[in-house]
Amino acid sequence: MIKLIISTILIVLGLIVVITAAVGNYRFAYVLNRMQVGSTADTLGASLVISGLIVYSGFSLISLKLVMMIVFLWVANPVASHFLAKTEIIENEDILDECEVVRHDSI
Amino acid sequence: MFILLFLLWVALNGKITVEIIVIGFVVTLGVYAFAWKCLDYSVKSDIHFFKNFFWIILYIFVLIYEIIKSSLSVVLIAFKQDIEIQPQIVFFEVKLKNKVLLTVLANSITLTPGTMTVDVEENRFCVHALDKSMAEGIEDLVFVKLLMKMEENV
Amino acid sequence: MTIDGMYEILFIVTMSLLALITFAYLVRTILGPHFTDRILAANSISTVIILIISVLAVYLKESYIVDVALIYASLGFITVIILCKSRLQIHHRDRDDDFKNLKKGLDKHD
Repeated sequence: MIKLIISTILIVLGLIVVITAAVGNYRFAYVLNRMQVGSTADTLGASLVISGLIVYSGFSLISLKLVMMIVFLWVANPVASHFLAKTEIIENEDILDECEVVRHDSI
Repeated sequence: MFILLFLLWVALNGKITVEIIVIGFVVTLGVYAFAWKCLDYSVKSDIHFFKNFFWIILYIFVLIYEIIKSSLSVVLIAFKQDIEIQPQIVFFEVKLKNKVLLTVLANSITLTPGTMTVDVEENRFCVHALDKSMAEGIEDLVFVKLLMKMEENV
Repeated sequence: MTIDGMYEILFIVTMSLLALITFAYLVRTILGPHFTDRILAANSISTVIILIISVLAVYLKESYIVDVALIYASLGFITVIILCKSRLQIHHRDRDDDFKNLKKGLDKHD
């Protein structure tokens, strides 16, 4: 019974985060800002839902594979979104209309 | 590392029989040789890993805490009536030298919602931030301090 | 109502909500004004589908379905990388994807 409550809370929280990302995808106007909300879904939402599933399935082969899944998502998703951001910045000619540039380095 | 790869093989197979263990041993040996030859792996890096074990665990917990904290602020921004944000692109430098640690830092900046690494060259970072408040104090992040301590140990 | 029945309802509701979210992202993929919008939405679709497959694996209690999800995750990752790389190669060969060139490109707009 306690397992049910814990896993339900985790899955519902994860669903809320994923839905927020979908809503934010429509509310934000610019790609880079959308990407920030999307990365929230990728990291926090997905791992919350998957950890809810881990709590349900207990200590078994499925949960081991799900842990591998979280590790893979956390390693691969930042690389993908970094590449996407680079593409956008190289591609967009009017990037300065969307965001200001601040320098803290010595060059 | 060898043991880890072998455990991965067994976990993907799902059951333990003699054939699986024998074939897994051969495959793991092959992958290990590949890592040794092409990926700059040596026993030294394993020793470094165990030396830094405490810091790595601490780092993971700090990372999870930061992700939850900044996720909350991003979620709040997304549900506001009128979105008022000032996105920024920040260039800054860190004092780290180790390439692996720099990669870890770039990945954790991207994992934290609200900030995202656009490009890295040696120790210069280019980071996009969703709002001004998130770009503040990006030079002395918690991650940087922890990674500096790890680098001292290496 | 038994506990198993409650779990069944939980999983089915989760899966159907995730399917609805997939449709929302699909609309964004079609509408998206820029190239990057579409790729971003496609990446999010792959994440949501990974979640659906994981929930399905736990619901059916079959561990091999998680392998399918793992392979789907790596496929989505490779898709994004290759599409971005080829886009940069084809359309922006003059602007090398180098850090200094990026800075110069940003300065040019001032």
